[in-house]
Amino acid sequence: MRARHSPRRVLTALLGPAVLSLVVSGMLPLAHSAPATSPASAPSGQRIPHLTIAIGSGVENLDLPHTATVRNVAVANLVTEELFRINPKTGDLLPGLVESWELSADGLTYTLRLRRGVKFHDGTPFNAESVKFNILRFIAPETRARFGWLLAEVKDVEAADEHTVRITLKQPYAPFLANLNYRTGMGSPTQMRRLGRDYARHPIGTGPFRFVEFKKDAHVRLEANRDYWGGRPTADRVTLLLVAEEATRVALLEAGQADIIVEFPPVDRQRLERDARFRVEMSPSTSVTVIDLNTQWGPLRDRRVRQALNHAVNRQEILTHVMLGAALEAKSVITPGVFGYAPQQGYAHDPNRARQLLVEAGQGNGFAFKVTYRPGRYLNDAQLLETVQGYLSRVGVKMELNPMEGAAYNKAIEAPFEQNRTQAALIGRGAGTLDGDLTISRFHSKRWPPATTFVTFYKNGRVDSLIEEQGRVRDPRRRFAILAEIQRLLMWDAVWIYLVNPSHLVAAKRQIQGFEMFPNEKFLLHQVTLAR
Amino acid sequence: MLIYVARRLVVLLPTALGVLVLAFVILRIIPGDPVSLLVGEGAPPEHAARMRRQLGLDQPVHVQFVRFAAAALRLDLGRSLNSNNPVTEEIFSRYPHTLELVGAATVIAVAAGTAAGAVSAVRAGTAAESVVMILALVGLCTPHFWLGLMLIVLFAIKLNWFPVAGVGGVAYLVLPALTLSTSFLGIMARQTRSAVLDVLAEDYVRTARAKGLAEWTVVSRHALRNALIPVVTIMGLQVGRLLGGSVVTEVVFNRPGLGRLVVQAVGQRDYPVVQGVVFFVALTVLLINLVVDVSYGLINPRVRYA
Repeated sequence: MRARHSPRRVLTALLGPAVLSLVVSGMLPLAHSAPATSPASAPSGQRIPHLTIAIGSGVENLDLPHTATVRNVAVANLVTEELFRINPKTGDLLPGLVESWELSADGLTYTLRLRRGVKFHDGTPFNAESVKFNILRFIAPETRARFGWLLAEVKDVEAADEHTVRITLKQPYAPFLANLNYRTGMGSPTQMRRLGRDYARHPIGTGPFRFVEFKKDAHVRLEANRDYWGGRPTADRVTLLLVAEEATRVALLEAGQADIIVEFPPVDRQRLERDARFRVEMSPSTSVTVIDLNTQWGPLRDRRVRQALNHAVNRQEILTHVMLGAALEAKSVITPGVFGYAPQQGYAHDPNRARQLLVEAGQGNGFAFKVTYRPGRYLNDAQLLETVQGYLSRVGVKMELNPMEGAAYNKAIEAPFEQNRTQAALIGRGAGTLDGDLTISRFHSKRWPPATTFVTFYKNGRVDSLIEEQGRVRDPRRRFAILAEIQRLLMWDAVWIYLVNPSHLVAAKRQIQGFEMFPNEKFLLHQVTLAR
Repeated sequence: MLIYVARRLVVLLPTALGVLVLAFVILRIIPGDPVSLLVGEGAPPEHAARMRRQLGLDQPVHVQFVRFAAAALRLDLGRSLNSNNPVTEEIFSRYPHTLELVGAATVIAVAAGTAAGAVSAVRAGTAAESVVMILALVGLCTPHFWLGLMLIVLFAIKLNWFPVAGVGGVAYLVLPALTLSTSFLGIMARQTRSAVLDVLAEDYVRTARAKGLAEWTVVSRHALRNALIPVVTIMGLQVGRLLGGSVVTEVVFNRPGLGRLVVQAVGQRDYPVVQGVVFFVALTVLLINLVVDVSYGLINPRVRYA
């Protein structure tokens, strides 16, 4: 990982003396003694009476089964937490509401030991029954959880005792805990029974913040849960502004009406960096923006042709001139911070090699193909495609652009093979679960569209069996090795034109510290402080 | 006239219903599948199929419509596919913000637009006319997106007079209302100007002047009032346009309005929400048109309702 994409803590340790006006509020700085539960991450700055953070849109519902985007999940998780914490560098699970866990020898039963003494915001004790309640609610068909399929392998959930939960699967499924942690959260069973369908209006969890108000497309207001098991949050009140337009987020920061903004246009980066009032941090995201190549279509059937397209592209130029430095080169089908990530050598920019490969493949006179995309869906997508178009034309390949409206695009690329006319598609892929399986398993030949949107129509018996194997193995190291081998094969077979891994851009007032951003867009707010 | 209004109101419902049927059918004709957008990329087909069944989207369109209409009669427009909230709640939480914005923009546009138009007609051939007309043209052509951001930079960041974005008191309304009003204002100014110019050439204006009335009285009592009919017509059309067309302004100033809701819903193929918004906006536009038609009679007593 590069230095400038440095670490887990997006806005940590501080430069410069901070101007603090909060003394007025009479709040004492937090003692240095850390909460017993998380000794390594004691907040070191001054408390914040009211923290305002502007994030993007897509927050639709704060009841986890009905959340829309990962950003939505992230906000819901501030109130109704996931079971585990995550190591943002490796994607590994860390103790959270679950203190320790183990998997049975047959790979079927997970035993989770819960943290003791935790209470929901309404006083209901957090225990094995409540975990069972939440998981069963998530998978129940009548809940209509959008992502209920993430937990499709669950056969049974059992409260072994007050603080032990046993989850039995239908078959061994190695990424299970990552899936479990991705879109679930622990809500108070008392409140859910009381409010039924209206629970989303007033969610209650164990999280660092209590729910106050949610106004769609405007804001979410929270207040500190003083009894939080991870220590009292350093901000007493939090307002999350839900701001769709990036330029407006920047304006909010510049006008002093937001303390932190999440995601802003890379063109504003330098200006904000030069401004002494602000600091800017970049961190890797889980998404890669790539061009899926239909490996069953015309000239693209030949691996050498697909390799040639990859050699033709100058990724360094794209990073500098199109992404303005706010991205990394895509070195695999998954990304830094995701379990299993094994960066590959990839294809150096080498137009001569590209031409040579095309000649070997009998395409020395060039050919034309069409790339389908949704304009405006990804950062700089049009410029990205035009740039790639330029590179490919230099090796005699004509790439035509085929823009489509979003839902129509989905319909087109999700058509079954026989009806699918897609030759190539610009698309963002990401393993939001922070486990490589989510992306990698979709290259299985049984998961061609409409089961997925992978218009690569990739068929490789060895990769198929490796995908199945990594889903079964119990030992994480062995699993990592298999995932790495799959990534090597996918790179060699050039299933995509590998392009970029856009970074998260976060800007904040200079004295703000302790905002923790994860690659999958989740974030932690409970230790955000003002630097002394 | 009461009979006229009553008759118009009776016709209004079937018209809104017609709009609703059209929206219902068109939504299902355009490509795109709400379920696949809902369950996310990579969901197993069984999961998507179950969801489709649960939402009743596996049924033929006419069956879906009958179900929808039956529920709608009980004032139940269903739940948003995307947020799982009742559609009526989604609409009513936003409608006030949109009405507030469109209302404020209309007041600005009508007041400033008719004044500017009248002035430039009366001062035809002078520099004042050219200035007003150039400004009107600029207003007409300035993209809301750009103007909104410029106003934010100047009045919210540099001068700190107004909040950048959001909803709240009047302070939150000023910049977005200004932004949204510009093209409307430009149209009003130009329409008023040409209407007043026409009227000023009429015999009765010459008569009014001849009998020695003050120029102000001539313009305001005789010219402007008679010039208002085409202007009011345009105004009615424009307000209808703003109700659905305020989305850019809403996005820039982060206002939770109807325009944003419907654009998002179309993108997500959130059928119930689109249907609901179309119905309410259609109803509003029809009501505004009714008000416009009735106002003809108030402006010009010669207009008779039959």
